[in-house]
Parts: sequence; structure tokens; C-alpha cells
Amino acid sequence: MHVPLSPHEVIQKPPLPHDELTDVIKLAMWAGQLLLQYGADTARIEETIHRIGTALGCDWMDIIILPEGIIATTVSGVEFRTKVRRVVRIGVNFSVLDEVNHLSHLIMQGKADRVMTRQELRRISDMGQTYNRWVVVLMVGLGCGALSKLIGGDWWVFIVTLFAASGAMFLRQEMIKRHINMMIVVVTTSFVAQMLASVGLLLHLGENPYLALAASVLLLVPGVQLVNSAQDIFQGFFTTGISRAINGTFITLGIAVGVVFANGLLRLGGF
Amino acid sequence: MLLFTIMEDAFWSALVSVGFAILFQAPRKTLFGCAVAGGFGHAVRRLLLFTGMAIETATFIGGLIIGFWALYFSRRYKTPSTIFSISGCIPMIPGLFAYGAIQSLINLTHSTPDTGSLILYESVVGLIRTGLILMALTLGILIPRLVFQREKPVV
Repeated sequence: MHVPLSPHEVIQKPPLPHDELTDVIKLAMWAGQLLLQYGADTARIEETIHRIGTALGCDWMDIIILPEGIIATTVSGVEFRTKVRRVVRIGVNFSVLDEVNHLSHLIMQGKADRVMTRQELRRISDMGQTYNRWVVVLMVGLGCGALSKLIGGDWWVFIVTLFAASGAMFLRQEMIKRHINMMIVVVTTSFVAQMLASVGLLLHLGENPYLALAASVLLLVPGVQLVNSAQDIFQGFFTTGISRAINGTFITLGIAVGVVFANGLLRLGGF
Repeated sequence: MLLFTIMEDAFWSALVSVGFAILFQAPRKTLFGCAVAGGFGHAVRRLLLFTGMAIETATFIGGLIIGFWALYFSRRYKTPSTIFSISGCIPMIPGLFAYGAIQSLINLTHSTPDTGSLILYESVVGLIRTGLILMALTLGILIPRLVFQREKPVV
């Protein structure tokens, strides 16, 4: 453990040359960028950057995490370097969080130097998706189907929800692949899930076909954003917390808009 | 009979948790933990609802259980506890209440003052209930982590 917790420990570290300091701040912020991009909470991002930076040899780091980027200064002896890194939101990938967490522990134990850290971060950045897209489509369909069973649906409702949620998930993947705006993706996916789930309603399948309509849009639920937002606000990271809460609220409103469109078309709400 | 209902409940909620864990690209080694956390939490909530407890309180306790499982699995697999708690809490999200509330709100737009008061009541109750359940759930899954996973502050 090379995390400096007292000023005495800080003084004992040899000062890093300027180019090595540049390298350290680059690596630490790269790890932070991966975490912010793929859905980590702010406390974890800040701690990881700080631990990587100090374990790789600098004395101290000052870190500000914003919703759209990271600002950090690294200090070693009398030298310091400051860097801004813009972060674009891509999505949720818990495998990246797991790998960066593992890497930061390796660095803290002194088992990874700057060269190895760079190789590992490159590998994690290029890792891609853990699961095949068809596995995701099937499992999201099954998950939403199981939710329809939980809210009291019968087997017909389960089958209709499985079909509707899988279809909507496939469409969502296609739209994300084509870099369509996030809100348009949400509204369209919610609308299409409703239209597919209304098959059960039109054919009078099962006891209560309305349950399929409610369960099929749940694949869009912004669970990661809302939980992270609450955690950030609890721990005093108000900027990222509020921004994530607004993101989650807008996704929820987007789902509602899709539902309203579909209801109007199906004459459920009596427009 | 009750045992069978609870077991069935645990099975379906575990399936929901695994489905969403895969949507969030959770590592393969964590899927079992997500299933256990989600299944336990929701089954306990169902059991408490049988005893007549209010759904908000029951959700809070279910959330606490998910939070503790998440801490346990986070130490066992040396991975962030968020993976287990977020995947595990999905089955308890009040989707049906939210859906019903939105439906009522739409119906409000073409109601008369006579019919409107009942629809307004339904939608407002639905929205408040959704909000309260969501808050109880979030508090439940965060409290174990905030209380028992305090590390030395490094920043």
C-alpha cells in the first residue's frame, strides 16, 4: 500500500521528473475516464484516480469529477501537472468497472508499473461487450417476461412480454449502433415495445393482457443512473448526482412519452 | 403453499436480476451473486407483504437485504458492490404503479370535473407511491454500503 495518508509519508517519496509526472496523470485519468463512461459512482472514480496516481509515484492528486469530464492536478515535490479530460457518455458496462477495480488493486500492491498499467488500460478500453448481442436480446426478453410473472401475469402474458421486450431490445441495439440520439432511442424503443405487447391485447391472450404492456417497457428503466445519482448526492458529489438524477428523470419521461404515443394509437387512453 | 409462492417469487426475481445484469454487461463470475441478491430481496418483500406490512416498508427491508448480499459478494469476488445492488434492485422497481399513474394522467386530459376528481386521485396516489417505493428501495440498498464499507478517506 503506497497511499500517502500523512505528510511525513509524502515527504519521503522521491520527486518524479516532469515527463514521468505527465505519464502518471495520463494513466490515472485514463482509468477515471473508463469508470465515468461506463457507470461508476463518483466516489469510486475519485478514489481510483487518487490511488493509481499516488501508487505510481506522485505525492498528491486533486480531482474534480464533472458529469462531462474530469479535471485533475498531480503533485510531486515542487512539480505539478494539470489536465482536463473530456468524457463522453457511452453506456453501462460493469465488466469494465470490474477490470479497472482489479487493475487499481494491482497497482496499489506494487504489482503493476506504468508500462503494464498502460497495456492493461489499452486492453480494457478495447474489451468491447462481454456478451453476444443475441444473448443480451434473449436475456432482456426473459428478464422482462419474469417481471410480468412477478406482477401477476399468466403464461400468455409472459410469452407476449418476452416477444415484445426482445424485439424492443433488438431495435435499441440497432439504434445505438447507428449513434442515434439517446432520448430518441428511449422514446422509440418504448413506443415499439408497447406496440408489440399490444398484440396480446388485440388477440385477447391470457387473463390480463395489460400487464404485458406495463412489463415490456421496463428494459428501459434507468436503474444505474438513479442509484448512482442517489449515492453521489448522499456522499456530497452534488454536481454529478444532480446531473444523473436529471438524466434518469428524462429517460423515465421518455418512456412515458412512448407509452402515451402508443396508447393514443391503440385508443387505450381514449384520445 | 406459501413456501411454494415464495420460492416461485424468488426464481422469477432472480431471473430478472440476471437478465438486467447481462444487459449491464456484468462479468460472468458475478451473475450468480446478482441472482442471489435479487431473488432474496424480492422474496423477503413478498413474505413481508403477506404479513400485511406496507409496501414501502417491505421494499426498504428487501433493499437492505440486497445491500448486505451485495457487500458480501463484493468482498468474495473482489469487485464493486454496485454490480450486485443495481442488478438486484431491478425486480422491486414499481413499474406497475408507475405505468398505472401515467395511464391515469393521460385519462385526466379528457375528463369532466365529475369524473376528473377520481382520476386525479388515482394518478396522484400512483405517482406518490412510485416515488416513495423508489426512495425506500434506493435507501435500502445504499445504507449497508454507506455504513459498513467505510474505507479510510484518501482524498
